[in-house]
Amino acid sequence: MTATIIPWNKTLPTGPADVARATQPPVSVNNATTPMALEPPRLRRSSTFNSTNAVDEAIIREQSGPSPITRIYPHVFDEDLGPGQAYVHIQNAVRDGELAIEAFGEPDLDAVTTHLGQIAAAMRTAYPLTDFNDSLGGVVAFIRRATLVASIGELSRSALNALVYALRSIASNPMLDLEEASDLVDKLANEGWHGEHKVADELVAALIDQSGLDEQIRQALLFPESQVAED
Amino acid sequence: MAGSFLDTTVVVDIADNGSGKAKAASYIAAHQPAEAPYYALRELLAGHVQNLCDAHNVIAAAENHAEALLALLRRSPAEGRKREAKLQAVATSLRSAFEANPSGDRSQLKRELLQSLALRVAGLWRRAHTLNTVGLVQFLDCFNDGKISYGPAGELRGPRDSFNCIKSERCAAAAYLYDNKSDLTKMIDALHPSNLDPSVAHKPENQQRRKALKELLSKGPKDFGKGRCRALGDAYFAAMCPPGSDVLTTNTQDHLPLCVALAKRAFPP
Repeated sequence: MTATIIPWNKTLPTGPADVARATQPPVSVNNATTPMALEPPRLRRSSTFNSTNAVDEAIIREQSGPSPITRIYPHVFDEDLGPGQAYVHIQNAVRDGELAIEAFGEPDLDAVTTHLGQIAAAMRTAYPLTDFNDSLGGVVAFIRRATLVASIGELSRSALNALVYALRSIASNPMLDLEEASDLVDKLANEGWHGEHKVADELVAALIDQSGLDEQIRQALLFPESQVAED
Repeated sequence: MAGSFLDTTVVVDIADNGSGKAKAASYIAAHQPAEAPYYALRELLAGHVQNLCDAHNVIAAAENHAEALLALLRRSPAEGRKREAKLQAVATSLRSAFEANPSGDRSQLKRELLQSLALRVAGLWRRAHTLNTVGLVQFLDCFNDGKISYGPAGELRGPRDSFNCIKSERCAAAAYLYDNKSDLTKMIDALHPSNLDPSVAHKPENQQRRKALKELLSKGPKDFGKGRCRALGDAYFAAMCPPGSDVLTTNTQDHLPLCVALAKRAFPP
């Protein structure tokens, strides 16, 4: 049996010349070094000999092709561009997250620590490439900070599952909006990941945390117009 | 046991995972049904959410930490020493967000801070809509509900580019209050300086609230100035707290006179 990959945007071969063109050069299936998600859907020609020695041919659509997001935005997630490279790093982090879960079950906590470090490094590299979507950047930065400071003693299977869930979510939807991003970060925080930004926390505390403030100031925050004295 | 009717201070405490969250949550669990009016969300949007979005946008626009700090201090609605002290403490931290990043692009540190702020404000706003075991009630058709989102320059914007009510609609909160003119009159009387504790008798917000209630009673909701909607404030919670529930607030000092006038109660969590 032979298998030939036909790019999705090429017409199917109809004659011998077309077949020759389509089969030269052959493209390997499931090339692990190539980010599959960046490639368009593929059609595979399958040729077999039946009992009468005739050739049976079939065109099979490859299911392991790109994710929907890369089909929708192929120009954005081209592997030669920043977003495409960020996507590859996030996909790598998903694999490291899955390996961390496996290691957690063995249990091999040293390996878990190693994989978390790899995820942090992937996020560090991906972050500057996420400037096409600040919501994505916020989640990537949160995961970087969280995996950097994670304490192995406090990790749970549930926390690792949440991490992989978040990584898969941003991999499948890098164009997520701010609300979706804040939801993902909440899920991680609820599972014990500490990726908060210290300066942002201090700033928010100064701006809205009213503990220790005079009652009049608390009211002023809610009713700024009331600061205008009545006639 | 009586139910709970949450005011904005408690909604903020829970939604921002503040220090008072655990206390409020356990009170609410023991005092069901628990409800929060959309008016609390409306106050939250025009108050804390807008403040945080403004802070985000100020920092995004600032070229250095001093510029950012100056702009933040200008936006501070009060001059309290504690507040200034807190902001001064932030100044040191802000500097690090603007300093050169030795291992990369200078702008990345500031970018992380801004994104983190954006996630905080979006999370606060989203969680306020989905408080555990708390139902949102008394819808306001003038309420400008929706998502906090990024604008084209990376700035944060409110729903439909606004943190205020929908201008074309009448003030729905005023209409709710006007339905019970007897209660309206009682609250106006209760806010008269001679009926208030001397410590709060001349508070500007009480004076503003009384003025707004008087305007509503005399003009009706149709001609009630929409700009005064937020001045109704605590009066809304006292008047609209349903029978069988108590107002839950961290600010009992201002709520109590109004609640007592309507034979209702206000408690801190």
